[in-house]
Amino acid sequence: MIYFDQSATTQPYPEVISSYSEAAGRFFANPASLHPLGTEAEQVTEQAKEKIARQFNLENYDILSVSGATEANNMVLQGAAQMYKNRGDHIVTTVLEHASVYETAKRLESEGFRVTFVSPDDDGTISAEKVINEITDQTILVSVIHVSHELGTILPVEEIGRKIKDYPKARFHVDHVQGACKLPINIEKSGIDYVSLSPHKLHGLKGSGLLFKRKSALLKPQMNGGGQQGANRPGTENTAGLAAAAKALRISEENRGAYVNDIRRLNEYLSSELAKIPGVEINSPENRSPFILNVSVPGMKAEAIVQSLAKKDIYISTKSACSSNDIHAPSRILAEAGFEHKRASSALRLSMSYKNSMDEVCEVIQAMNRVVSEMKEVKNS
Amino acid sequence: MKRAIYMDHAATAPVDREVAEAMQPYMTEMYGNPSSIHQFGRQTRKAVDDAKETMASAIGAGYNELIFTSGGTEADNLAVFSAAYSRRDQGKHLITTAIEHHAVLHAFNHLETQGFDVTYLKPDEYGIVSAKAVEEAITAETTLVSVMYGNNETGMIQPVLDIAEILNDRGILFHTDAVQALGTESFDLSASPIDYAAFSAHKINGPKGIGLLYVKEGAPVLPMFHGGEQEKKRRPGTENVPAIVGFAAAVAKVSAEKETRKSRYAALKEDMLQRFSASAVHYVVNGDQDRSLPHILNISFPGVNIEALLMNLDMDGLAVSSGSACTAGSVNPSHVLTAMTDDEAISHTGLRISFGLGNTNEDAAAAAEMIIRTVKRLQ
Repeated sequence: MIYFDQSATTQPYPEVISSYSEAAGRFFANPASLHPLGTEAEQVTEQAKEKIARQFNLENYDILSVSGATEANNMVLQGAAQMYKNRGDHIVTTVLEHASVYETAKRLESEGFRVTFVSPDDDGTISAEKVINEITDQTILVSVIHVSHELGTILPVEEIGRKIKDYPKARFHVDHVQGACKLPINIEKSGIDYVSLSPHKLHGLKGSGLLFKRKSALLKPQMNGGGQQGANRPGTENTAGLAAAAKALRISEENRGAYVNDIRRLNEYLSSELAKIPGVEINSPENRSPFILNVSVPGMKAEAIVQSLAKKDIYISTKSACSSNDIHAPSRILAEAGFEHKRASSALRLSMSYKNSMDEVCEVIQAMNRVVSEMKEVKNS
Repeated sequence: MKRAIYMDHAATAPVDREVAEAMQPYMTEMYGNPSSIHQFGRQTRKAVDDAKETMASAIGAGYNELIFTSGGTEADNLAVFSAAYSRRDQGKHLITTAIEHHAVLHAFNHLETQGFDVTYLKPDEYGIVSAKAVEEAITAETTLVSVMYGNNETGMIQPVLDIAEILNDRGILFHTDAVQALGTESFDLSASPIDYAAFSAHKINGPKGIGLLYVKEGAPVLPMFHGGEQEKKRRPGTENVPAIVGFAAAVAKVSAEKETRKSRYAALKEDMLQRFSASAVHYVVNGDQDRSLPHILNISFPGVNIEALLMNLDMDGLAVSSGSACTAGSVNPSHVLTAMTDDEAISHTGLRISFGLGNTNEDAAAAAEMIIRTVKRLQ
């Protein structure tokens, strides 16, 4: 079995599952309870947050545990828009964003905010200048994805962050879901106010997302209830989920140090070999995450290729899992990034993690070669 | 050290072993994203669908009437905001009670800042808000009423079906926070006039981080979050598969054991009450035990410093609470007891004892004796 859909979700590390089970068993109490069991659970929760803060070198940030990156992204876009609406009505983001940012920005647009969606240049990338140039004196929020989940494009979020410091009105959010523990960024020094993270993309568990919030950057809470997490996010804290998240982030960071160069070589080899298959075109730009490669086989049905590969026990995806309901629709992101319809509707995403090997890459290349030529024959006969 | 006795199940409950076992394979081997089109995705999609079927049949709901959320708080917020905002042009008067959980109460407080007019009904001395009180508060502008099923501090069961019946005739939406009632009460939601009902897994020995909102077919939903197409776009985000599977396992277990649990908790409560009655301590039982959730018992000890009592019980190894966990961090008097009585000697000294799996007759006896001993010393 070869699993090349690591950007959709990952297999949790065994240590993560142990952390979860141990915390769920030993520290089951409600962290808001006053008795010692509650206090213990609260300590475990706080320790996990401290570990995460240390790993990301965060001193003046709140670490908020949320249900996932979708909630984190919504909390930032809606919360910052509502909090700072009397300062201005303009938001800058990109067409490469995940649906949880893009759709929320569209929603804010329908509520009267003005939203600029920056598109990539011909080389597929978006420069810091291009984002900064869209900022006006009405801009209250800039939200940029660090690594595009479909194309793997790396956006210069550190540079954008440093330049946004010249615009004190504009808060800066980074969707770091596909970049965390893969392509580290200096959050605090780069002036990033809000960061969204999703441990289940890093061999952690589903249902536990993280939002890093600079203490001086405010958000209108999206939910009302108990006073948990400084009233930023009510609801009983998921102690075990948070302990598991801290563990997943730590192991992924260790693996990054050990394997990221290997992954880079795998991605480059995969890209150069797939490019040799007649009919295959590489969609990801040169400056991409080593963990993601997006290709198209124009004229062929992407889902047919996915299913043929699945028969060979190889699992990849067509586009973001969150938008897979209408599997025949072209990728919204590729279309808006400027790819023609034929290419946007035949895109395949291959996404890797530390667990994948060169042997697997070679098998995927061979299988792709066979599947594409077989399908071509069927088409031509 | 002697074994600690945990009687704070209304705050949260440990994950049942069978529930944990049901979750395990969805963390280790079946980890796919349910939205992925390959077999890993189809496998977990089926797990989520099956879990939803289990939940649906347990509470008498249709599959399409259920939305998984991150917990009870989100479910309550989603219901209250959906109903209030979608009916905004029909009226801006809302009714709830002064004894709601903060997930409901603070959602209504927020709506007041958005131009809504909210009536907070006070309960009677037993902690119950009558259907008549709701009926009298209705105006031509009323669009939503929210009354909890069973109170999280006193356990008092509210006449929600009678209330919902009245509202149904007038086209007013009705939400109930049923978080505390799921473990012992029976639901037949589709057939009932209830429009929304909120539930949470971790109060019934399921995992934290997962809740459920029942929304009657046709009742409005305004998503709080935007993004992927999960839950028919009503609640985007990768489904928390292991927790969903765990929630369903916990619910299935509740369905099978409901009657046994009810009678066991009632017996534990009865035993403790008898011991209090036989002791010389001065106490007041808050609420009416004939109309209470069996797992919650709330007693005030006039003249006792509740902090001191809790601290002493802590040291003896008994985990109980004053007020709900969400308000416990702040040591304000319980808003529920305050709404029931003006007598601060009662409202400031309430102790909540809540039973769950694992509590034995010996635990109840030991807990009662511990409380009696400490109260005698402090009174």
